Amino acid sequence: MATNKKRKPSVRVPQRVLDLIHPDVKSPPELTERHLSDPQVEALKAIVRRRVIPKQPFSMAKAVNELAHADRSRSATRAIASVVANREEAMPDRVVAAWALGRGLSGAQTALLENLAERNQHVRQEVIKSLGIVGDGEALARLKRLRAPAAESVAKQLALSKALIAHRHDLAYDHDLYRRGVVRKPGDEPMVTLSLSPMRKSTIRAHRERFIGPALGIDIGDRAFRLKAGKALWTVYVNNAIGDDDHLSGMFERKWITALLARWHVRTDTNEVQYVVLTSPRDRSAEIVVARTDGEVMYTGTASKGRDLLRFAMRDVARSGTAPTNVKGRLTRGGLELEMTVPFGRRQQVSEGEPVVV
Amino acid sequence: MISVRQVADDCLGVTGSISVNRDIYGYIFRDNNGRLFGALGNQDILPATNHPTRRSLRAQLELMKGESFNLSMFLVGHENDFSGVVSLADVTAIQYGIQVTRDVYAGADLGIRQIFWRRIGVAEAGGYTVIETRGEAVDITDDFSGPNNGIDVFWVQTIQGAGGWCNQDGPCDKDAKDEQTGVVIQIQFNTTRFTGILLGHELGHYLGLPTGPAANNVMGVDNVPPFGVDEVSINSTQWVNNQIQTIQGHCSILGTC
Repeated sequence: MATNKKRKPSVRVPQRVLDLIHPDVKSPPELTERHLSDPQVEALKAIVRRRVIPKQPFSMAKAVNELAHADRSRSATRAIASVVANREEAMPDRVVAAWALGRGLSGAQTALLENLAERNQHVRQEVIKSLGIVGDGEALARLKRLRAPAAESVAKQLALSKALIAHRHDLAYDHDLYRRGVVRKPGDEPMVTLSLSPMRKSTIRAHRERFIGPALGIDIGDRAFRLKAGKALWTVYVNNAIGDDDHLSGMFERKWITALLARWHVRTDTNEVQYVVLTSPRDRSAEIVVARTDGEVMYTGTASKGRDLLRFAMRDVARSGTAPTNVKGRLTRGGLELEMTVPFGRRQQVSEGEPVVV
Repeated sequence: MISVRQVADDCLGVTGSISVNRDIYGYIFRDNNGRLFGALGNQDILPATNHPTRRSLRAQLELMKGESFNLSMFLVGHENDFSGVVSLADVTAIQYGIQVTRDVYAGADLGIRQIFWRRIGVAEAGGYTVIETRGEAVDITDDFSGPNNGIDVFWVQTIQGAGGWCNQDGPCDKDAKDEQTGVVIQIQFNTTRFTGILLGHELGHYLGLPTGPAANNVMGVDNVPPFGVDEVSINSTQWVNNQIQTIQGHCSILGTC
């Protein structure tokens, strides 16, 4: 939370803005339009740039988020980038600022690249994450030149960001995210029910309206599947750019960000990306990697063409807290069929953290 | 006459030398001025006593002997020497938050019996120190579970768009794979009392309660439904009878000891 440490001009800030950035007042829902006036946006910008310090308590993270909602211009980008770059700002506020730059602001890539050498690992991870969302060939070239980060979480984020950019723009870069999945046998553990089914256009549209971005730089909404595992529900949005043929043949021609698994949250009635599906052509098939947005690889597998439109097989990757799952299925003209599913009901090898020692 | 030693033995398995704050309340931190609850502001008043710091040991002993639940507190990005992202001010604020929550749940005749302090170091915490999406809140509860019967509570620096996230009616199997298996909550607010109000609110969801019915109720209101971001204030401390029945029936509730 920001504190009023420095003496700065104390200009009257509109009450609406003060309410939006008060630490103890709830933020409007993410999908709600703010409808801020120009003077209100300018007040937000001045607060983010620390040219104005409100007398009332305020949260810099909230100010950054509200500004990113209200204004996607270069001047807003510069204001938010000033928080990322300012080492006197609190780490969480700088992380939120870096995150905001990944949400489609004008000139964000340049601002993010300027902060790529950031020393704080949390801020740096977020800069790299946002570059993966908005970056192009220039960003990929810069990321490829980076030394391997010492922090494992930053290294994973870097690997994913490079892969996202390369797959989005079909650029020369082969990721090393693929890990061989684990073979699971039914009966080893209690299982949950798993289903995958195509969705109608009207339903996809309704889901898209409740989708909280970003969509990792791809267009979605033409085609989607409904994935349910136990109580958990995802909308699997297929990348529109792959084409509209039934057998997703584009998947075997170049690498893609093929789909986004957007998880539904009951309380907010919204869905947002939890996993990203990357595919790369390999001989006559395609290699599939399903990763979390922090770069953690969750599932891997293959897809191939055959008598059916598409056949696929997926397995979970051995990791702490894995959700053991093996799935085989095929896409036919009659629909989607799951031939074998082994989804365990419990996670395995979940980390316990460590006891606190005082 | 209720006995500290007896309750410590019966309910916590603690014998021998007993520290009331450490062993009975589970408050293990003190700031550099020796304060359990750190620096407090004008609005930091405990609901049970209407005093900034005054507590009733007798009330705590009676509550923890009765139907109660335990909490497994994960400090995310914490190193034992405070070289991580969690500060002494943070942990004393959390302790105050626990006491506020205890006072609120006393109104539902439920105790908070045992506090298990856990930590996720900076390296292992990675990007979880700041939660930007609802999905990340699910992910952290997928990746970590306290090795105890306490409800997992993950304390992070900031959550985008909310002060805390929790599903309604959380599971008692903390390794269940298809739902959020704990509360995720941010540490810093303007008033320390609000930290406790929000903890009580999120625990209310975990114990089975939906939002509502009123702004002064623990479960607050959602003025823009169905978006699931609830409005609570430092005065959201009240219960209604059916809420009490619901939370007392949750699988996390422990019997008398």
